[in-house]
Parts: sequence; C-alpha cells; structure tokens
Amino acid sequence: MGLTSTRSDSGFYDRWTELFLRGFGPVFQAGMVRTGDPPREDPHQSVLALVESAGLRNGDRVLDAGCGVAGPGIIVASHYSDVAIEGVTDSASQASIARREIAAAGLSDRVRAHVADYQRLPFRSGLFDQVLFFESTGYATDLHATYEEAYRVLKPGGRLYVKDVFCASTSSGWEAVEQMERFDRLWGCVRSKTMQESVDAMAGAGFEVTLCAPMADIGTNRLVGSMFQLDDVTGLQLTELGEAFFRSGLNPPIEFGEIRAFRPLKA
Amino acid sequence: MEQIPPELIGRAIQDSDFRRRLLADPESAVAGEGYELDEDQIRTLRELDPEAIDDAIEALIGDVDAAKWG
Repeated sequence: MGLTSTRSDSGFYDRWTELFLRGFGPVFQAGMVRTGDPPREDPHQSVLALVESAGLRNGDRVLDAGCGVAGPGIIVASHYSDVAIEGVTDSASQASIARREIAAAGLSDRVRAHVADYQRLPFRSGLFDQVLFFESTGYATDLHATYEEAYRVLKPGGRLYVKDVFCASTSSGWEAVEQMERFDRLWGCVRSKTMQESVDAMAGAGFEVTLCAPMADIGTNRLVGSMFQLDDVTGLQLTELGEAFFRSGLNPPIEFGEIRAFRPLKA
Repeated sequence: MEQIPPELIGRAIQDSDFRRRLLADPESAVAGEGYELDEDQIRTLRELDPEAIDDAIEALIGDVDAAKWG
C-alpha cells in the first residue's frame, strides 16, 4: 500500500458530528490516556497528558490538525493561559460547532477553527511551535503532503506530535486486510497508517523523529461504554451511537501509538 | 436519573471479573475505583440480573474483544 490514497469521505463528519458530540462528548478520540490513581479515562486529563508528552509549552502557537469540535483545543487553552491554537477540520459542520464551543468557553481570542485540508494549510511558513495530530492521520490521502505541510508551517526547532490508532505493522493476511478495510470504512478513514510508514514520511519531509512507540496506558472503556446503555428495565442495549457504529465481530489489527519529531534548526 | 457512566459500562463489558463484582455489590466494586455513582445508579446496578447481562453481552457482542473498536 502506498502513501497516497485516493478514496476519501469528506462528508463523514458533516453527517456524524452531532451524534459523536452526544455520544462521546467534545473529545473525539477512541483511546484515552489513563491518568490518576486509581487510573481513569478522563478526556480532560487525557488531553493534558498527551500535550505534555508532545512537549507543548506555555506561549506556544499550536496547530491542531484534525481539530474535531475543538474539544482538545479548549481543554489545552483553558489549562495553558498563553497558548494560541489554530484548529483545522475539513468538515464545515465540525468547524461551526467548534466555533460555538470556543465562544461558549470564552476562548475566541486564543482558539480558532478553520475549514481546511491539513495537506494544504492556509498558514504561512514557520508560524507554529507545535503541530498536533490526535487520531487524525487516518484521514490523510497523502501522508507525504501531510508531513511536508506540517514541516513547512513549523518554525525551525518546532515540534510535531502524532497520537493515533495505527494499523499494526505486523498484521498481514487477507483477514487482517479485510478487518482493517471494514474498520476504516466504518469510521470514514481513507486508510489507517502504520507507525513505520508515518516515521518514514516524517523523515522524508525533513523531520528528526525522537520517539515512536506503542502506548500502553490507553483505555477504550469510554468508547465501548458510549455504545451501550444499562438500565434496570431493558438491561444492556445499544445506544444511538452503538446502533450506528458498533459492529459485532470487528477486531482489526490496530494499536495506539505516539510519534514525536521536530523540525531541525538547520535543514 | 443519571445514566450509568460510559466508562463504567465499557469496563463492565470488557472486564468480566469486574462485571461480576459490580453487579453483585456495586458500592464495594466502585469503592476506591474513582467512579462516583448516586443512589439511583447504585440501585439500578443492584437490580440488574447478572445472567441476563451476560446473555445480552453474548447476544449483542459475542467475542468481547471485538467490541473494542466499534
């Protein structure tokens, strides 16, 4: 499989965002970093753990590439008082909801949502200190263009961080391929990437990769639990979200992982 | 009434040992786990039939591992 794919579903989030918002809340991520003692899957704390791992610093100008409804951006800007975030999504519906949520949080001066393709960004070169991809590279049609654009808009020394649901690089065989295709189709992805091809594409764009690792402390209880409801009358039932997205027998070879890289000071 | 939190439902689905403890004695099962449930939620969990929930999981999900990814 090459780095460029041609199939895309740009209307996926226009169709499903309202349901995701009701079912998942404002952070559209399948895996939450387990934080605290005892460990819990708290979206707020999960996002803060991710940006800490990314190396985000107060004062940064940040690009959130695949910003959803700006749930993570709002969490980050609420925690870091001097961070400015530009989010991009290819869904007009998401951008509209994001702007509403940003305004409601009183953060319109520091968080913005744009309808744009992260493979062709509407920002000048060298603008950002940090670029974040949270479970969004599966929507890339061209992984080289994705990371070349991230490289272009980062300042020299700027940081790239990707946390994603990756296709496990060890997976092979027709059954694994079929499961991945079902998974990608279900969630509107172009194609889930492997960590290795992501690292290769980053290196090809000029990045220096400092970390590429599976994430052990990720939980999916919130994801699974959002698809079901429990009550004393009907017992266990699918929710509206579960009716739309739960598929019995779907068990693709995927893994959560994170990749950190930076744009060298001198190319 | 507040719904049972999704994280708790997901854990009960994916962790059969936790599910058994949760449905047998909800207060003890969530104590020290960081979940905050009100009296109605505790009562709901107490009134659930563990065998019926196991059957529903089997019927709806089958292999629980397959539930991880939607």
